[in-house]
Amino acid sequence: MSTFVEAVLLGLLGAYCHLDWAVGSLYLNRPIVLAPLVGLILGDLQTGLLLGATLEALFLGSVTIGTYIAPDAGISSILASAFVISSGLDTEAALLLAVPIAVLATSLQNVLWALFSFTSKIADNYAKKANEKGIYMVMWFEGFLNAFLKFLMVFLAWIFGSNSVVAIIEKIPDVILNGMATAGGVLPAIGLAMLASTMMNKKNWIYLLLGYIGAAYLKLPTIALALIGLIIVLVKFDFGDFKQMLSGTSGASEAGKEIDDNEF
Amino acid sequence: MSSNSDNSKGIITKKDLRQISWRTLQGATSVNYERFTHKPFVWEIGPALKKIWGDDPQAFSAALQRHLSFFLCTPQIKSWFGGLMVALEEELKNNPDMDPSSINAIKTSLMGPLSGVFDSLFLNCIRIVACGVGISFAAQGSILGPILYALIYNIPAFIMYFGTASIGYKMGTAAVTNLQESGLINKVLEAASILGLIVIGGMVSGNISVNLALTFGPEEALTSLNDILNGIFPGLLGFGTFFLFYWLLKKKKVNTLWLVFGALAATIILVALGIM
Repeated sequence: MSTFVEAVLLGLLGAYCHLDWAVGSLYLNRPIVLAPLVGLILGDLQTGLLLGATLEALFLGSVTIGTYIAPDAGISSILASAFVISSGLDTEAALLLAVPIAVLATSLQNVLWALFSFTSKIADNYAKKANEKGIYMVMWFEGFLNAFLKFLMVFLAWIFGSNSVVAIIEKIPDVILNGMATAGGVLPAIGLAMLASTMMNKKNWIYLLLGYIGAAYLKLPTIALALIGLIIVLVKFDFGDFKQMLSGTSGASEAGKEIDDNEF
Repeated sequence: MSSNSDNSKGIITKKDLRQISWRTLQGATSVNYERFTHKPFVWEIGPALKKIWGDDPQAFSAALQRHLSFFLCTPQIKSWFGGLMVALEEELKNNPDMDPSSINAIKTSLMGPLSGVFDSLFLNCIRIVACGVGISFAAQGSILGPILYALIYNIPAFIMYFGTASIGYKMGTAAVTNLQESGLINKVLEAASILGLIVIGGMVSGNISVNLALTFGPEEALTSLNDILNGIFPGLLGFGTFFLFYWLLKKKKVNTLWLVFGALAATIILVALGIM
């Protein structure tokens, strides 16, 4: 496949990184899905799958939650996987490439999202004129512009970068490459620590130990651990009233009537 | 405030609620740093707003402006929010005494706590289980990795998208107040954390490998320090590394970027020195 066609296909994957938010926030814009697709485009699905596992472990804790905008795992996993597959390097080399690309891609997107605060004024004007279609138009314009920016990032990086990046990587001394391979086992600890830091406290850290023991000593697969966790949660908490609340709320709306009187 | 429960004469039908569910899928098409995903929210409930206020351009314009205010929450509960907001708009139409600003007050006050619960549930719990399973298959080169990942995350997500618009519409606000007061929100948060941490614990064991290359003893009975440590507790060094990073992140507030570069540099140096 010519470099141009590859660049277009990879670029479309880049655009999808944004468009995922317009088709249901499916979270398919993550390394574990993108890297295998890059592998498919470049004719090495197997390496793509391995890269997906490696990069997903690195970016595991890096998700946009609330107002925290995480480093762009999507764009960076596309480019890092593509460069690694085309250069024939170890999968661990992707880790070294991925982080700077993610930071760069995120800062470009930050500029765009700041600019969209201004285009929101156009939407405000449409709202004043009771023109809801105008608001939709602004939304789609911003959405496709964002997707196009991501297309361009990947497209241009592949057109101009693939040979030079590969040439640079080939000059890296063996000591560093070996170190990077070893770092492949260390870096996921950061992603996992980031993730744990959002939910771990003095009371519940023991459950992390439980999961660890289950996997390290008993060799339980993740699904088994998740099911054990589910049982623990169900035993520990009584969700009876929650279920009622989700299932049509006859009791809840009764309770609602009592509150109604003094609510507003 | 009675039309929530007796919506037989309601303007909004099942079909309208289904449309809200479909349009929820575009929930983050455009984002900005001032009001985040407010435009997709107007896209979501726009047709329903038009149906309620269409005969009164001024009131319709006011409703559009109302919902162009700040909106940010877990994607999977946007459908529920849509149903709830439409119920309140309908209420406003039927009850001229209602203060329109209370609609946004309710939206804003529910956004935070509910996103806290559902971010934990979807991003820190279901996603982690999906990633854990996905990574373990993909690492063996199996195409099942990404496929299982996508399914495990998205089946619950779609249940939320298509099952909760009508719940939000029926609930009105009362049930939510109830939920908050009964402390159920904290319960759900705690439960999601426990499940998440168990899976993370498993992933700490499976995905981190930190080994020492150091050996000692006479040449015929060369002993590896690594084997001894793993005999005490399997993966002891990896486990320790995880807690080192956790401590640096949480207690020392070290920037993640520095951690990544620091870890890379330290590993390369330790490998070069023959320690790792």
